[in-house]
Amino acid sequence: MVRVWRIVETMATILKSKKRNVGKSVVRIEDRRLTTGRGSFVDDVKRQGTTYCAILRSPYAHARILKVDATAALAHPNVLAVITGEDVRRLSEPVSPYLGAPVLHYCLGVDKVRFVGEPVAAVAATDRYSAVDALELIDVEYEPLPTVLNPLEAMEETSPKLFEELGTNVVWHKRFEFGNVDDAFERADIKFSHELKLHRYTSTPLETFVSTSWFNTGTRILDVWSNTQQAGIMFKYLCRALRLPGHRVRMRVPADVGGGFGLKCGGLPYITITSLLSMKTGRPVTWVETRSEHLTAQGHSAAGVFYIEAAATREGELIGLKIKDVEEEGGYLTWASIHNVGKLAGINGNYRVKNIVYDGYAVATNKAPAVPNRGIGKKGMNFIIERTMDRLADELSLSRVEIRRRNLISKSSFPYETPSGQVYDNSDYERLLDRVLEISDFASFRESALRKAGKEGRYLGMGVTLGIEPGTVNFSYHSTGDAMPLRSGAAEGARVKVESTGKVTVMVGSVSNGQGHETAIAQVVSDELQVDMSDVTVIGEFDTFTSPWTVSSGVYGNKFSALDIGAVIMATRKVKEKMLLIAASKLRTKSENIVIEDGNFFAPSAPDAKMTIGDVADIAYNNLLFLPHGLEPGLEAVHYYSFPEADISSGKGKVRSFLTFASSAHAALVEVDAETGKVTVVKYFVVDDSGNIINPMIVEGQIHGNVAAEASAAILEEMVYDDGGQLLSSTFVDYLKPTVKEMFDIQSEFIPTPSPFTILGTKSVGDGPAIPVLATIASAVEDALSPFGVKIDSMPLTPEKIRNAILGAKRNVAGIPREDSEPDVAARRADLKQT
Amino acid sequence: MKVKCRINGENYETEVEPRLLLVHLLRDNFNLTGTHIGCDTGHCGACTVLMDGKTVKSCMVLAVQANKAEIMTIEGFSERDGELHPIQRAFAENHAVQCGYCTPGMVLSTHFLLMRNSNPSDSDIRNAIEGNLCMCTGYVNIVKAIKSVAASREPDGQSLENR
Ligand code: FES
Ligand code: FES
Repeated sequence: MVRVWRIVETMATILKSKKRNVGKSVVRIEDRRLTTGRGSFVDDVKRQGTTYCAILRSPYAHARILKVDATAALAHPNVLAVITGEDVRRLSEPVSPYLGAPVLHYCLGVDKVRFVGEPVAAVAATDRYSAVDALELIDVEYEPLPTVLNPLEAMEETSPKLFEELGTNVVWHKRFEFGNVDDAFERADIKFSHELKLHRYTSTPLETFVSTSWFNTGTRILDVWSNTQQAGIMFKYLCRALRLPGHRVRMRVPADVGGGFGLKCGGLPYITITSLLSMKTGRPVTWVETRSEHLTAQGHSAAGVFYIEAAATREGELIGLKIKDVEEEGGYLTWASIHNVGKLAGINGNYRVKNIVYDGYAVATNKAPAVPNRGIGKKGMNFIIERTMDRLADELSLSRVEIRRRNLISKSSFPYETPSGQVYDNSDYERLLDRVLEISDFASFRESALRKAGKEGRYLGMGVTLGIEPGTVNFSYHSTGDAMPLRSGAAEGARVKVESTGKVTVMVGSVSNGQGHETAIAQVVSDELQVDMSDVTVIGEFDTFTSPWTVSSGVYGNKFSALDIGAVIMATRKVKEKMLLIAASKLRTKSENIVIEDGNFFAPSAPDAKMTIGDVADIAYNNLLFLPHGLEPGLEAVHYYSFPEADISSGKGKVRSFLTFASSAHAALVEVDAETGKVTVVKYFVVDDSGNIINPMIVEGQIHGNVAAEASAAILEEMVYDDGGQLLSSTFVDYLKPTVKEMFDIQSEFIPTPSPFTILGTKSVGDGPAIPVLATIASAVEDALSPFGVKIDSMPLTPEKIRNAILGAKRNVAGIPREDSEPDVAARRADLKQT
Repeated sequence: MKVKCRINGENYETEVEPRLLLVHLLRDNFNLTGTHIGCDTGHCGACTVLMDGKTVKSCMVLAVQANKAEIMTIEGFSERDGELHPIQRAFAENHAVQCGYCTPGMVLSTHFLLMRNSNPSDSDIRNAIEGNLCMCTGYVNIVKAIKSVAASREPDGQSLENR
């Protein structure tokens, strides 16, 4: 009896004392090195004999390259090598769009350039300054060609062709139909159409792209250090471009990367350039992108024009949608069509609408390439459905909140299959909506704002939206519409080792770009093994020679909390199983009788006979004859965790593109100065369901950063080109990033519903909170300007656009036709200075 | 040309080209890589260091201008015993750090503010770090961290400038 009591008591203490770090706002492990300047970013490490690369870029938006003469540059005493288009054609294979567009790109312009800033030659010199000097000594003869900058014009038969071999600028076009759209439009009580437009902008990670390559002529191994977000997928294409076998190429990413946001997914041409130069010189070659190179040529968030027809019942149920999506790809097609299919995947948003036609076009233009930027196509996806909801509300004179309520997917219908084949895991959208209305005091605010409208020229407004936040990519979606995928599924690897001292090291196939992955992993591992977080070292860097990795490895697509954490947990459990076997054999019991508490292994029936994790490790490494019969020495396990439910595209636009679907409700309070057209975000509210959360402090930080970035994209930021295709916003002088002075209050809350599809019930957070911001601010500004009847159809909401819209609305009232004015940087800056 | 200066209390001396920027001198010649580069127009503040007691953007200063100067970079900022300075601690505890690329500049700009103003208002804080861009945090937790250091300063106003 006494013995039984002991057991019960011990169990109770175990439960009580069970260490739990997951779910707590643990201070980050990374911060000690980052606050003291001891981080290690790519350009912080010098290799013996490092040389520096500079890149000559096209001054034309579209031109034929007639001749490149590098003789004078090569004669510069500090220059070691120069490569031109002719060289790369000879020495390398194309770094083709790995996502399916049927054209061949090399790492430098060969024969032709298609946007301002496209690389045409590269230099390696003994110091940074000489490398730049040498660029001026390279003589390039161009034959300028007519340019096409507007995607709608680019679609016309007669427009100049960027890729003559294709015979068209439409590099991808597919039409998919889900449900019965004709029927929906037939039985609808109301139908309407509208046209929306998203602009080019970018998230500008503070650290630019960096690539260091070192072809060691002794080992004949090419060692590459870069801050790419997608080392896994890039590896194969780099090997192909350089004609090197995989075991002679080592790709590494350091533990510290100064932000990514998608902009560092596309650095393959640059890694190829530094590698070719290193193979020529036998010296390490480093290229550090300048800010203006980053703004001019690294790529921008995909801009697009969307034509939408909607059909609804008179009760406000949206029953049919026809969407024509014209996505502008720019002049380099790495990501062509991916923004389209990314958008398609979640096109119904948080709503039930089932009958949808999606007609998507990817169009080449003479501008910088469209690249991932806090999501691929997701901002467009949300903008389309949320603006359509607002429009529908207006058509029916219903409130914008009420219209959403009438269309939301209900709590009881999860898991919910959408028209495009997504399975939404779990959530309570209505509750998110209710809560955001509550914390933003939506109802009473709007009443008083309307009352005060126009006092001292101030117009206040509020917008409220919802959004889904897809997490973990199934690569099959890249080939949506084709039955045969290039790649499919998704997986990440982790290696967990309990060292002979009983301490733990962990390595995963991805690095962090500032999201605190080392901390989150240590939280999870310490819970699994019941050890202190300080006993766990997470090796933050990535290395194709030593990391457990797959083609999906990297930091993108909101995959961390499902795949990376999944791999870490499974690998940890494998090691734990083995430790239990060792402890059980030593303690002469069965492994299922052993528990771990505070780093000790014991059987609750005999709690005094304890082994520390160090004792177990000692047997595993040092006292091998005490291992249970047949058990392999060592305590190390690798696990590759994969997207369990991934499927292959049906060829009809249906594929389970993402594993988890976090969601959130957003509300914004804005003020518009009708005189100057200036929009100010006063306060922003987010109620978020990212599933179970590993570290709330980090997740809240992600919300802040994403909201800030997209709010700035909504009102400040825009990539502006002149008629000749010159980028006018190529430095932080002309491209406006928000300072602390533009920032507003952000209030956020969590209502987590655990995902049934991940081990810890996590969903994802990353780009998520960024997705609905454009639509929320558009809605709020429209609300503020409702006295004028202004409609917001295109972004960004710059002062002159707002002012012109107000003037136009007034003129319309007076019967004078409205003039559209193009954005103009100088005027915008003047406007901002004034205010 | 010769540059001779004191950095973080140590003497440094080297020959440089006249056009070399201070930020490159620190990073490439002296391997003090905690000072970062985020732009080419003096807008981002990632390269902020203290020169003769004042913050400067080291990408806007020539190395030769630092001759005879007293410079402090982030590497010299922690407490002598290796403990984090209260500003660094506040940045970590308030999650004012994401990628950490802006952090050295932010920390030094905060230090320069608190040296002159032990009780800064919200707008003092915003003015002080206006020249430091952060792409990750939306500044929310950075402002919070700075407020928390200011609030927790010992009443006798133990001055930070002597550190
Ligand atoms: S690098 Fe000096 S201000 Fe940006
Ligand atoms: S934390 Fe990344 S730039 Fe500030």
